[in-house]
Order: sequence, then C-alpha cells, then structure tokens
Amino acid sequence: MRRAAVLAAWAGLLSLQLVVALTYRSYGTWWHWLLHQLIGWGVGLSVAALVIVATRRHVPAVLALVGGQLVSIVPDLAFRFLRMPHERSMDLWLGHISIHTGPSPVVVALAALLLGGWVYAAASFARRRAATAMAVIGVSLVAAACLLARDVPTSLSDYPLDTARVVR
Amino acid sequence: MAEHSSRARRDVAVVAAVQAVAVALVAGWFATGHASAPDDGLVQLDLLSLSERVPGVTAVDGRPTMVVLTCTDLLPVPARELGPAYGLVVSTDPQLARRLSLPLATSECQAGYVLLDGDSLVRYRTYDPGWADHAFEQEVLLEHLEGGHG
Repeated sequence: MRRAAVLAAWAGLLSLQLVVALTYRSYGTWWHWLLHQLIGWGVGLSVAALVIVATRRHVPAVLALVGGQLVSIVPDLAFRFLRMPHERSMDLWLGHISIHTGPSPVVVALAALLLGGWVYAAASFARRRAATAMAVIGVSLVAAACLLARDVPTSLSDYPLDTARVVR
Repeated sequence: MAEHSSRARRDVAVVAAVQAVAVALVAGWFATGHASAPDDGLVQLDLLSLSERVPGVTAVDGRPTMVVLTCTDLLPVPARELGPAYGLVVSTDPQLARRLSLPLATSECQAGYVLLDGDSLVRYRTYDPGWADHAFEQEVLLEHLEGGHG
C-alpha cells in the first residue's frame, strides 16, 4: 500500500513537471524554462546542503528541488495567474530578471545545478567542509552572474542590431 | 544510521537523474543552434521598460496597440485573437523594423512586435516568431498599459 502511494506521488510530481515544461513551451519560452528551473533546482540543493551541514538533519532532495523551483518561478506564476508583468524588483526571486542578461545564462544555470547536486551529495555523505565551500560557490555564481548583468534597456537604441545574431 | 545512509543514497540518485536530464536538455538546446542568450537575453522578457515615441507607429484609436513586424504581409491566423480593447497592426516595412530595433523581423523573417500605450509610446519590444499563438502573454501586457500602469 505504501509502495503504491509513493509511486502515485512520483507519477503526480513528474506529470506536474511535464505540464510546467509544456506550458513554458506553448508560450514559446522554453529558454526561460531552462534558465529558471535549473537555477531553482541548483540553489534549492545548495541551500538544502547548508541546512544539512548546519543541522545534521536530512533534507529530502525532492523538497530542495521543488522548493527552489517554486521560488525561482514566482514571477512567472504571478504573470500566469495574477496577470502581473515582470518588474525589475522580481530579481528577488533568484535573479529572475538579471539572469537573462548576465553572462552565458544557460551555462550559468547548468553550472548552478551541477554544483548544487554535488554539494547536496557531499553534505548527505558528511563531507561538511567541501559541501559548505561548494554551496557558497554555487550561490555566489548565480549572484555574480546577476551582478554582472546588463541593465534591461530603457530605450530602443539599447537593443542589439546585429543581424547575424541567432534569435531563438 | 543505516536508514539515513540509504535515504541519502536514494536522494543523491534522484539528484543525479535530474542533473542528467538537465545536461541532455542543455546539450539539445545548443546542438539545435540556439544561443545561450537569444537576442542578448531580451527575448520575451515581459517587462515594460520602455517609454519612447517612434515616428511611424500610432496607437489604433487611442487603444493599447500591438505592432507586429514581419517579412510577410500574409497575416497568420492567431490561435486566440487579441481582445477588441486592443489595436493590432502588421507591418513589413524594413525601415520601421530597424527603427523599432527589430531588424531580423523583415530581413530574416524572425517576427517581432512592439506594444504601444494609448498615447502611442513604445513600451515593450521583443522578437517572437510565434507571436500569433501568444495572445495571452500580449494581453497581460496590453491590459497593464490600458490601466495606465507600468
């Protein structure tokens, strides 16, 4: 019985993730899905690792992943369900605005997830120093990318005019 | 202790699976010719950061208006049309596309659009080749302009 409940929970979670991904795709915003989910998962895992190190209590990976993901996509949920356009202040949600115009956003997002995963593994197996150091690096990576980001244009002349640029 | 170790191993396996999926998706993204930051990271940002008058674009009947720049004047049938509260203009003019910082719209058929408020100020600009299917997104932004916000 318990096994069936666990399987049902996993099936529900994976279905929900599929719905989220397909929704982003239907809006033509697959790139945004890549950025925000990976950043959310990565930061969630890094924070969970720090909690594990600090409290020596286990934090389930699913809780860390989904928690980080939710924090990361709050502005998109507000857009979809509250009809609220994005604002610069939404950087509070894991750099939701600045991450777009920072250096190599997709690479930074993937790096955040890979680091977050390794940090989480290190913390789970009591490699506390390594976990703490890598967690700080992981979160700092995202913060640094946001700090290095170009401002969102306030004039049309601020947009790129390079016609050789790949748009999508 | 054994139970903790078993839980930890299981959770680390979950994380490794998520990482593997993410690596595959990112590899797919780059393998299909996409940039790490399409249009310098400014594609479909959904942030009303502009307030600029541009010659050649005017709000239809003083309503918030979407001006689409594309290389063809064959208007695709929108999956969901914009509501009647908003104006819609389609242009294939390369000069206008350039003035609106959307040069690829007419030169490489990568359509884009700008949104105007009722005073004909350009408030938002993005490339979006799938614009005809994204009425929800456009309406949320236009609705905000209608209310005089932003």
